[in-house]
Amino acid sequence: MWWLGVAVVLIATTSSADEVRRIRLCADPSNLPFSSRDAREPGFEIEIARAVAAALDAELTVHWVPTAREIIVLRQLYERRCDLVMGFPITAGFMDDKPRLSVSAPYYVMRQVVVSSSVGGVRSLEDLKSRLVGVQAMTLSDQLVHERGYNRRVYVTPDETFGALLRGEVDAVVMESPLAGWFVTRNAGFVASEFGDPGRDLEIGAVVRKADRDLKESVDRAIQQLQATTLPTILRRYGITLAQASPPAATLTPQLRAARSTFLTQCSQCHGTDAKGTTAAANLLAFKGSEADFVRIVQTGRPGTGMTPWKGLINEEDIRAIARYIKLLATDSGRP
Amino acid sequence: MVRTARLSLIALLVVSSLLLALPSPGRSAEWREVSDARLLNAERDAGNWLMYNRTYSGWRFSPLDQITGANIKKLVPKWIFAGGTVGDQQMTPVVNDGVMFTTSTSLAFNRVHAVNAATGELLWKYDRRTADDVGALVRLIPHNRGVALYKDKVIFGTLDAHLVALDAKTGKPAWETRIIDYADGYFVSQAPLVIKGKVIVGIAGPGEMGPRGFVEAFDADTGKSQWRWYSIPAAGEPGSETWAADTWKIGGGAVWHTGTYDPATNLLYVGTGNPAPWIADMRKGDNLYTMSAVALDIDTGKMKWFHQYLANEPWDYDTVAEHHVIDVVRNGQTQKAVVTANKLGYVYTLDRITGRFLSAVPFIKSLTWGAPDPVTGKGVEKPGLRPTMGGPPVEVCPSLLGGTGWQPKVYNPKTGFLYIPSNEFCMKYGYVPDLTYKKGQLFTGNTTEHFSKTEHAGVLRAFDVNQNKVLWEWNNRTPLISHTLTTAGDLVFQGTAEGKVVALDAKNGQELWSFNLGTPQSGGIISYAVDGKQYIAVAAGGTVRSQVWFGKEPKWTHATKLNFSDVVVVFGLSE
Repeated sequence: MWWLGVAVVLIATTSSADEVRRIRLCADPSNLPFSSRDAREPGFEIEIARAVAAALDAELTVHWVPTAREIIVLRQLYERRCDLVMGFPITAGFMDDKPRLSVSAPYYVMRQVVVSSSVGGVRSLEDLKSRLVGVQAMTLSDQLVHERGYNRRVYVTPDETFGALLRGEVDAVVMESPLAGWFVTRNAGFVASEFGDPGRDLEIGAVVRKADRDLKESVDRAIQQLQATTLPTILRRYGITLAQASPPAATLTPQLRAARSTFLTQCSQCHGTDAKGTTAAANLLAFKGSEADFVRIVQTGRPGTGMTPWKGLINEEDIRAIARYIKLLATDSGRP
Repeated sequence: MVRTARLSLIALLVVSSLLLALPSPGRSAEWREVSDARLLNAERDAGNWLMYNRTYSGWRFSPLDQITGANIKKLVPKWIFAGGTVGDQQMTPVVNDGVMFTTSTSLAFNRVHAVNAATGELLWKYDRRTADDVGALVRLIPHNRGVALYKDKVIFGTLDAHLVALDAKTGKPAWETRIIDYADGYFVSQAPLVIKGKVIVGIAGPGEMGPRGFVEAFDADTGKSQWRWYSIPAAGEPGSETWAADTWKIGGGAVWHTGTYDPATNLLYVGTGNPAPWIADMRKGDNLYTMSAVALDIDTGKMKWFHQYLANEPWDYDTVAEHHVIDVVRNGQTQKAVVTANKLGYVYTLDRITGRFLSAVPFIKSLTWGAPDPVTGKGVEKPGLRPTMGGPPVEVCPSLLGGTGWQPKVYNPKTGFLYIPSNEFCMKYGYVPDLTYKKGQLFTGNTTEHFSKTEHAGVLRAFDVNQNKVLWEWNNRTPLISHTLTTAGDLVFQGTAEGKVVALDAKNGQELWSFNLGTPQSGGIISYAVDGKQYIAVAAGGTVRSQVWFGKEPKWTHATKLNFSDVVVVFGLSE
């Protein structure tokens, strides 16, 4: 389970009432920078979960559970001991075999980055060719370095891997961005560099039970609201400056690419290419309604405004895809 | 089958059309037939405004001279007529012997009114319901620019691409013709033009929704089609070599603006629109006969000549603006010409018999796209101003609304000036990363922001067609996407998006009078007389779309705050 090696899943919890009043989060008590029981340094996923709850005016409680094994964590969700678990990759491959769960909008993007000495270190993938690279076993970083045929040395935990870098056993470490950022902020003399390979970016969201639709929509909405300032601020505190944004267009799925095309062609004339609106049309990033509301308004228009009905021209599936594309734009708004 | 389904739909539409016939107080007895002879001699019929541009020449010059600079301070509103729609009023009223015909349009219907031109009293009203699955552009700008009169009929085109004739006296339907399937992205916005018993209609939609543009002639008595000229040749026809592969099938070239006509040459002059999509690389080649002046034999619809202003056009600079039939005097020589000022920002003069290019003179300063070749008149682009798909937007001037767009230019034979409502603005213009044709959807592929580098984006310019230069200017903050009129009283009337209509001295541009309409001026301004009294009628109500055009330029946003309420305001001298 490559993701478990790094991702350090936090967990959450909620009620299933219409209005979200309480969220029960499942989280690991000792897994910084992701989560920790230590109130002075709770981890970014705990902080983000708190910000989400605050945005929804809901109470957040934490059910502490070790997250080293996926099934243990997910069982807490299935058995309703918690309602929300942070740190899940938003990929079909990962979610397809979990039909009882659904994943929220992404709150950050995880990448592989290179950590090396700030003097004469490694700044690109090319630089790794002649070096010895430390990786954590069975992670995406391990896979990446292995696929490229670089000279690698494998360690079991992130701590061991970074320990090897500190001792000079390896020239560089390829590591997932949250762990790399965390390490760099605490160890002077090391820097983290991006590869600039957006194809490997991994969007990270929180999972909820599929039946808790209200919770999912609320969490999505809160993540959107927090995307511009709160999330980057929290992430930066944990050294995650390289991994705060959603992916560039190149990583869009074919469906979202088509939605972008439809949006730019049919909608952006009024709503702007950034969907932030004009004097003539609404800022779609600030849209507060559900996806169903979005579909209804696009289909029937807003009488008395320039928003014309699009029923019969853009089918419902395409409108839903546009809604998701706009959601993606919204989560991208913190990006410089 | 599709055909049957479509026919039954039309039948339903006709049945459901709402007919409101009001008692017409003796009007029927007074109706004077609008004969071919009257249309041909419309110039001398001073009290009437019988067709869209008043005369076949396209001048919009009223020979009435009762209202002058000397008495204009006494010009006051006489009556106001509300059309009941919100959003798009681009119509020019027509007047025949004391009866005015106006249209009001929304996404739900095409509406026609007959109004007593002296009192504003409603004589009849006709609503023709529109199908709810019309194309995207219709939904964004549901508009209509007016009716044509012929004999005892009022003829207009619809948002779902039909041509409808009503009894002018009662408003009852006389005949109706389906021009083409609106679902393919077609509609009619222009006022039809009746010439020699034929109703001439150019189709709108192709420039934004893809299909092939055309002009069609219908029998004015029956509505039967007589000829259709496609602005894009089909595979194998001459000119088809200017289109790559099958791109001609969805190549645009709408003919969305009313043409002009010269009885001496028997030619109809139309301007054709931009090719589709707006992404030029998706339709390699010169793309004939888009972006052209075209002369068609009115009897046969055969093309006599064409002049393409810009090949493989990339910026939506349609050249649909009217081609005024004017005999210009240059270097002591009288030249039978058509003169047009269009989006490209130049006043072009062509020989109206042969189509030969005579001259092109810029009338705007914000002009970066390039220039016509001084010998051939064909546009030569400045390199680097075409965006790439998904690439950064380019800055190019003018904006796609054009140096001047569809808003009529007017010609006063007394001054020899063509009055051009022109624009000093630019755009940030980009192409989307990918674009697929889908029937009825927008097939443009552009991203656009309009802005201006000058304080006054709207400039009314008096262009001397003989000296071939601008003689005076009148400035306005927002672009002039509103209308202009000139009269024998040596006046020019100009509307603004700020909701004003002003009267200027036709000789020097001095502002003499102004009135606040309370809603953007956007439809026609005409002059007519009833019982010996001259009136000025101003159609207003704005275009909701202007909020998009003006929305990103802080210098213009004040005009987007007005309400878009459809009215005709008629002015006369106080007693």
